[in-house]
Order: sequence, then C-alpha cells, then structure tokens
Amino acid sequence: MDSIVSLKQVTKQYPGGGRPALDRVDLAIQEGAFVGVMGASGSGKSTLLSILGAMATPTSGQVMVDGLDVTSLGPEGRAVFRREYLGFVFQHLQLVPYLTAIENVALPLAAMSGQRREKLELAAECLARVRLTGKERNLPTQLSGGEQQRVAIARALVNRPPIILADEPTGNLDTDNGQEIIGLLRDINDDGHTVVMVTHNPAYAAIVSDIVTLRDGRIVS
Amino acid sequence: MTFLGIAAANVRRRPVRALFVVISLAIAIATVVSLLTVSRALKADTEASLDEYGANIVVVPRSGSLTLSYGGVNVPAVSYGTSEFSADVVSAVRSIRNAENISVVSPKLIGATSVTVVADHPVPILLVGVDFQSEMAMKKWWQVTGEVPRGQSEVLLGSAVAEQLKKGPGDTLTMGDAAVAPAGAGPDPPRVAGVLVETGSAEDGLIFADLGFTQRLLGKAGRLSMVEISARCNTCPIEEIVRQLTLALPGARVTALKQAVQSRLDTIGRLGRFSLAVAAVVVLIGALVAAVSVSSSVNERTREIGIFRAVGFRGVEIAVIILGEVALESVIGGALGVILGGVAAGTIGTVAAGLKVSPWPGLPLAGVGMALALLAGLLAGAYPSRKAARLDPVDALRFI
Repeated sequence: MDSIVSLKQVTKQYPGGGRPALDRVDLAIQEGAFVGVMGASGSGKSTLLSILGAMATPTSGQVMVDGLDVTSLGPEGRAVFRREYLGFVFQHLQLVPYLTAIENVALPLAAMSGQRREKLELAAECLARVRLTGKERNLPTQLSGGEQQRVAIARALVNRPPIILADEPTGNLDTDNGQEIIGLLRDINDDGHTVVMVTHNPAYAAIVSDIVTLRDGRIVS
Repeated sequence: MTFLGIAAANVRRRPVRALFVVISLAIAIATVVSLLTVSRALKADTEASLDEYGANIVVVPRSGSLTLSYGGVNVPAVSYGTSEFSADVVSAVRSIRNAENISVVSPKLIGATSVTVVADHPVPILLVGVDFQSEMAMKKWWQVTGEVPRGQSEVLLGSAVAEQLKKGPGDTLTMGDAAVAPAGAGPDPPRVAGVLVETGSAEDGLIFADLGFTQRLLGKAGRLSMVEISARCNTCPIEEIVRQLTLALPGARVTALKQAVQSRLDTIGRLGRFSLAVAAVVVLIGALVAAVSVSSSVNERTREIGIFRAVGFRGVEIAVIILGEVALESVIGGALGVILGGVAAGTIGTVAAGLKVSPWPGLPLAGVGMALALLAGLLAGAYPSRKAARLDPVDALRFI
C-alpha cells in the first residue's frame, strides 16, 4: 500500500529551546492505517501532530502528503490544505460555543461552494453517523463531554478528508465515553480514512494498526 | 454555514458580548444625529432671524451725480434733490421670481430740509422718510426713548439731532424749506414721538419721518430715494436676487451688501463647523471604545480562532468573520443611535433651545448616521481582525 504521509528528516527546533522537539524524524504512514502516536509528556507527540496537520512548519526536512510537499506551502496554502486533506479531533474545548451542534459540524464547509441546505444535510448525516440525531440544534453547553467529542468527530468527517488527526481524543472522557470515541474512530478508519491518534493510553495499542513511539523528539519504535 | 452566518450567530447568541460595541456606537451616532439635527434647526432659525436683521440689498436710482453716504451706502445726489425714482419700484421688487426670498422692503425718501428752533435761524437737517413698520422690522437693534411714530405727523429724532435741537418726545418741530413748501402749503408741524438711542452711525444725525409726510414736505409725492431690502439668502444666492432686481428695475442700481451677507453666512458656517467638529470627536471616541472592545473580544477568542484555523479557514476568512460581526453590531448601534439621536434632538431642541425639532432626523442624516456607524465599526475592527487573521495556528491551538 502507498504512503499517504511521509516525513523525511523532519526537525523542529523552537526558538530559545535547547534540544529539538523533533529530531530528524523519518516516518511513513500508509493509506488507510490507524496510527497510534505514543510517548511520554514532552516527547514531541503534539509537535509531530502539528507538523502533520500543517499547523507548524518544520525547521528542516520535508513533509509529503498524498504527493504534495506541504513544507513548500505558505500559511494560506496550508489552510486550504487542511480544509481538503485533514480532519482534526482535539482533547477538549473544541466546539465553537455559539454555534449549534449541526453548525459546528458544518463549519469546515463554510469556505466551500454549495447551498446552505445541502451543507446542513451533509452535517446532519455526519451527526447521525456519530449517533447524535435529535441534538442538531443543541449548543455545546447543552451537550455532555462525550457528545461534544462526537460532534467534533462528525465535524472532522464532514469534508470527507483522507486523514483524521486526533490529539488525545479520550483524554477528558470517562471510560465508557472513551471507548465509544475510539469505536467511532475505528469505524471511520474502516471506512478508508487514515487516522493518526496521539494517546497516552496503552490500552489503545491493541486497537491501532501501527504504533509510533517518540522519546526526546525521536522515533524509537 | 457561511462566514457571515458564523458572525451573525455570534452576535445573535452572545448579545452581551456585542453590547459594548453596539452601545458605544449608538451613543456616538445618537450624539452626532442630535447635534446635527439641533444645529440644523438652529441654523434655519438663525438664518431666518439674520435675514430679517438689517438690509443686505440696496436699490438706488442710477445717477452720475455726486453722492451722499447713508448707512454706509452711497445715495446719489440726495442733497440736490435731483435723483429719485417712482414708488412703483416697491411693487417691482415684490414681483421678481424669487420674491419669496425677500423678507422686508423698506422704501425711503431722503432729502435736506431745515428745522427752525430760533426764529430766522433754521438748522439744515437731513430728513429720511420711511415706512416705520418696515423700518423697525429691518432694524431690530434700534432702541427708542419715547415711542415709535405711528401717525403721519410724528417723527423720530436721531440722538445727535435731538441734542442739537434740544427736542424730545412730545415736542413739536417747525420744519420745512420755504422754497419747496411755503407756509401753509406743507403738512402740519410734526410731533416728536421718540428719540433714537445712540447707534454710533449716521442715523444719529437724521430725522426719521413718515414716508408720506416727507414726500409732502419735500414736494416729492410718489418719489423715493432708495429702497433697502432684507433678503433671505440661504435658499437663493444674493447674486441671483440682485440679477433679478436689476432686470426688473432698469433705471436703478442694485447693490448687494456683501459684507453683511458674508457675515451672516460666516456666523451660520461657524455653527455648522462647530457641530461637525464635535460630531467628529464623538465618533472618534465611539470608534476607539469599539476598537478596544473588539480587540479584547478577539483576545478572548483565541481558542475559537484556533478551531477556525484547524478546520482550514484562511486568514482573510477569519477577518471576514470578525469584521462581519463588527459590521452587524455597527448597523444595530447606528440604527439605535439614529432613533435615540432623533428623540434627544426633539427633547433638547424644545427644552434647551426653544425650537420645534422633529424627532425624525430625515433620510439623509439617518443614512449618514448609519454610514458613520459602519465606517467607525469597520475602522475599529480593522486592527483586531488583522491580528486574528495573522494569528499563528500553533499559538491559537495551545489554548485547546
């Protein structure tokens, strides 16, 4: 299977920082993989996800996604890249508080052409997929933590991106809700999306197809 | 979902957050609208008052003769009694196209005569025949000791003349030039009705009498030396009125007292400029308050901006959301300001200035108010939106 993501000698050195957050990292992620990124706090997991998500640019090295050299893109180009290629799921506080569940899901479609009704229908389908039918008009404050995270997953799916990046998606949830979220990510992966998930929880090692372990900015396994 | 839809949702669902911008702009626009409305009403009132305050056009007969200065105006050859025109001039003045701009017409006959106080020692004097009603309407600054003449046989003395002749209210004058009106042929000796309080002008040395009396005394029935006109120049340039009068009175010389007109326009202009300056300062303060409010709101919303960035919004699209919110708040603030300003103008105008001011400022001023609110809001939002658009996604996401 082809690599959808490949990192070549990627180094990220923050200004004023001592050792690099990422140090000459080489990584290839196969299309359709479910990759778990593990490591201790400060090992470089979040920096790796930022670079994969085109939020941060590496100090050196190259990031290729689906044949596109992401490191050559400017800030606006990277924004368009995120819109077309990526879906993000964060740990917490990731919904826009004044938008309803369905509006939050439809957020990535704002910059895309199409009728409002069609966009909301698509968002409703995604909400149904995460089993939130009936909660479309709820504001985030009217949803539980688990429901908010499911809205975030629906939002990550709505623009049908090939890659889903999840940063500790179960970090703020109880075990049952955590299991449900992981189950949803598994389903999404089964549908063909490549999923890269940062997690501390070793229990999820059995669920993912590949594990990348970071230590001091380097991949150790 | 659109960018402006996101902006509208924020304003709709978090009204308290929007309140600062709305209130600051509403106060600014209300101040501007009330100030300009009251100022406009004051201006109209001042124009109306000033236009009735003294003459701004003088009509005299065309003459190549020597002239006499009266009230700063050269009156041709009055001392020789050779240059007058018919009293029909008054009706001709009233018939011009812009006759509605003419507020007061004061016809005059000026002539030299004499007053005899000591037998065989007549004192030469300049007599001005006027229509007292028109004259008093035009010269609102005149103050009279005694009374304003009412009948045809009453006169008003200039302060210097009264002193020279030692005459005052109730006294009788022996007037007339035997060569012009021999004893028994002229009108009865007039009674002094009042004395003009010193004006510091040529008027102090004159005797004012009824126009008909003067015409009979000087033997110039139906004749006039000059006509003073007070015209409202705010709706029609004085040059245009002069042009129309010149065409209507071919035998007359029509002169605009530009200094008087200019002084009136200057007074009105200063009023308008002062209002505009205050309005500009108030809008600036409103915009600054709005800018601080929007800036603080953007700082608090770094997390949201991080989400926008993560889902792929470009900087310009984030700026559109921020500016869209500010624009919406500005329109609400502007509309509120126009309504409040109108009500305030109606109240202030009536209570403070004694003017009747309509609470509806009119479509042009309402439009200006709305446009100003929008402009101030967009200027206030320019820096914060630029800052939001340039926010580093990694920095923004640190809040998540």
